[in-house]
Amino acid sequence: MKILLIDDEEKLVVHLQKGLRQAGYAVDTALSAATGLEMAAVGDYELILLDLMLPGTTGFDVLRTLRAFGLNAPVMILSALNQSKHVVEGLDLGAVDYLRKPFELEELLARIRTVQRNQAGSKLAVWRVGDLVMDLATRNVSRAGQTIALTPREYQLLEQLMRQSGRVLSKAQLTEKVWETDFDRGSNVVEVHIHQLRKKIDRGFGVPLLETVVGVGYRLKGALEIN
Amino acid sequence: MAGIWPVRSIRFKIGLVFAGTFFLGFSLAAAYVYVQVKDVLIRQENRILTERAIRLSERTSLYPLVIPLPEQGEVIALWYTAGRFRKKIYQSPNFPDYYPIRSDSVVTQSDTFQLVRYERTPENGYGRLTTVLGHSNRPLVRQLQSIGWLLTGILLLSVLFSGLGAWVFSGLLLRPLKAIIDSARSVNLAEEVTPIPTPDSDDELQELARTINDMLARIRSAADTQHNFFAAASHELRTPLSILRTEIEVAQREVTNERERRFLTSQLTELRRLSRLVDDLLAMSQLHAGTLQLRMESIELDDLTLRLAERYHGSINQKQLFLAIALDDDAASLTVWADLDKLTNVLLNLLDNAVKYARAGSRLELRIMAGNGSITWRLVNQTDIPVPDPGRLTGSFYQADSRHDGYGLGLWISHQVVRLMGGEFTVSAVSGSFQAEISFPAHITE
Repeated sequence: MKILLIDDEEKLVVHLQKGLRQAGYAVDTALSAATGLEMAAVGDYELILLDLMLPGTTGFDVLRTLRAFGLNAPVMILSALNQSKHVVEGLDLGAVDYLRKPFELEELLARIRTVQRNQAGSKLAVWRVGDLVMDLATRNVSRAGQTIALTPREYQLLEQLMRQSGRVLSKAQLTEKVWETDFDRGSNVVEVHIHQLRKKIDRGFGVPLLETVVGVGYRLKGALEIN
Repeated sequence: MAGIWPVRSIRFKIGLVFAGTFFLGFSLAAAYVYVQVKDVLIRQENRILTERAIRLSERTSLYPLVIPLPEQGEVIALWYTAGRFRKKIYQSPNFPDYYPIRSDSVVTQSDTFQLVRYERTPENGYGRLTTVLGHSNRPLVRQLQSIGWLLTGILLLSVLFSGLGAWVFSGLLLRPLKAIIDSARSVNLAEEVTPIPTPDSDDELQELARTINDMLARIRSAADTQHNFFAAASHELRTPLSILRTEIEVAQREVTNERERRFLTSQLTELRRLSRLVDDLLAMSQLHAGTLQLRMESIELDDLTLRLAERYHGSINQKQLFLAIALDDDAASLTVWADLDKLTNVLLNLLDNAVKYARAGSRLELRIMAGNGSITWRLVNQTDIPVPDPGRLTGSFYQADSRHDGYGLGLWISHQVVRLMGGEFTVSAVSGSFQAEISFPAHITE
């Protein structure tokens, strides 16, 4: 994925570029609005990361100019201006997302992945276990035709359980895939997540799919079908 | 602020002064009138009596002795004097004994009788015939008494009416002042500064209203300046903070050395705290200026809590705590209506405090419950550190106390922000444990 980063803070640009490159993205940078617009016009970028406070102009104007030129690359605003009115204005102008500085790199990467998935469209598969359906492209999960809203963590958990459906996954195995290695200590966060997930996918539906195997771990009943 | 005690109000004082002045003036005038009237009445009475005495005296004859009869209610005494010789000719049975026969005055008053004396030379041209005629002065006394009562009554009534009139009239005059007081009282936040109504009266009240409006405008502009400063400063602070954070996060992904990684993690934790402090400062200035904007949306409190709790995994493990989360299973939804960013900051603040002040190795209880139309988020931690007086949080403005730096500001902001979002925030501390509780009205989606 090719990303253009427009920001006048040179140090931030350097480190962000490095971080994004580590995550496997091709990143070009522009330190001014004019350079940024020029690069955007010829560069064919799939995502533009845009700062709001630029020398001599604002990110909002850059966004307007981009749209006026017919450049429809998704734009994500990164800004230290974090009052509600700025967020609203940015989103109204057609930005796909607004991230407040200082942000966590992990959060930025997650949001970039969301943009990426939306662009990837139906290239990704649809998984099915019984009447439980997970669309990897749109991240939609539904059961018996009913859409289920999952948090990112619950989605990740379900993804792991579906990938290994029919087999028992220990708590340690699950946490290692979804969180860090030692996440099963210090809190009952993992249990609560499993509990929440079970509530969402099993409550109100006929056959419970998510099983607890006492002393061993968790299992999703059924076999995985991939379309 | 309470109103003014009625007895101390300007209206009351004006009424009192009016009534007092009126009383003084009127009572002097009334006393003068009374004395004059009394004088006139007595003189008239005496004149009538004297005329009667003359007539009776003229009808009196010594040879042959003719004594005229007085009318009912009159008393008469007649005597004849010639040189040293004096003879009482007649005296009515109830003629007062105390009458001084040798008196020179023509008119004598007693408690019961008004007496006049008339002397003339009898027909024989020798000696003097003295006639003393009297009648009861009770009617006169009664008349004077009723005039006195009338005057006193009028005096009291007019004092009362002048006082009341002054009170009512000054109330009318001061009505703009009351309006000024009422609108000045409603000015609580710089945000809500609205000019107070200026009476169109070209007097001191108009001047007062104008002066107050000028002052309000200055307050407003000072608050604006302060708020703009905080907004600009927090923006300026965020830029280097975001550079630092990105730099550390990128570096963290590169290093493999455990010691360096721990160092960077610790730096990142402090950086997060610093970022939140910057947010807190801005939030505080916005709260003071009343310019805090909320972007309300429906939020799944359970999902948000779980997401935020994960951030404390590192610090929880470091202090060997255990975070026990309990979510209400029976609730249809744990959705609340709030501003996501502000609520996130509040919850992070509370989690931060709980982890920071928890006794090492203890248990943190985080519970989200639904019931009675509200959703309650409660976090309890065990602590050895004395907790500041929870009552301070509910004060209108937080009084900075450097000894309790960690707790105070964050909790005060949380309290204010939660209140603005329509929720309730309470903290309580009992022997060794600290509890923070947020309660929102349950939000029905769809």
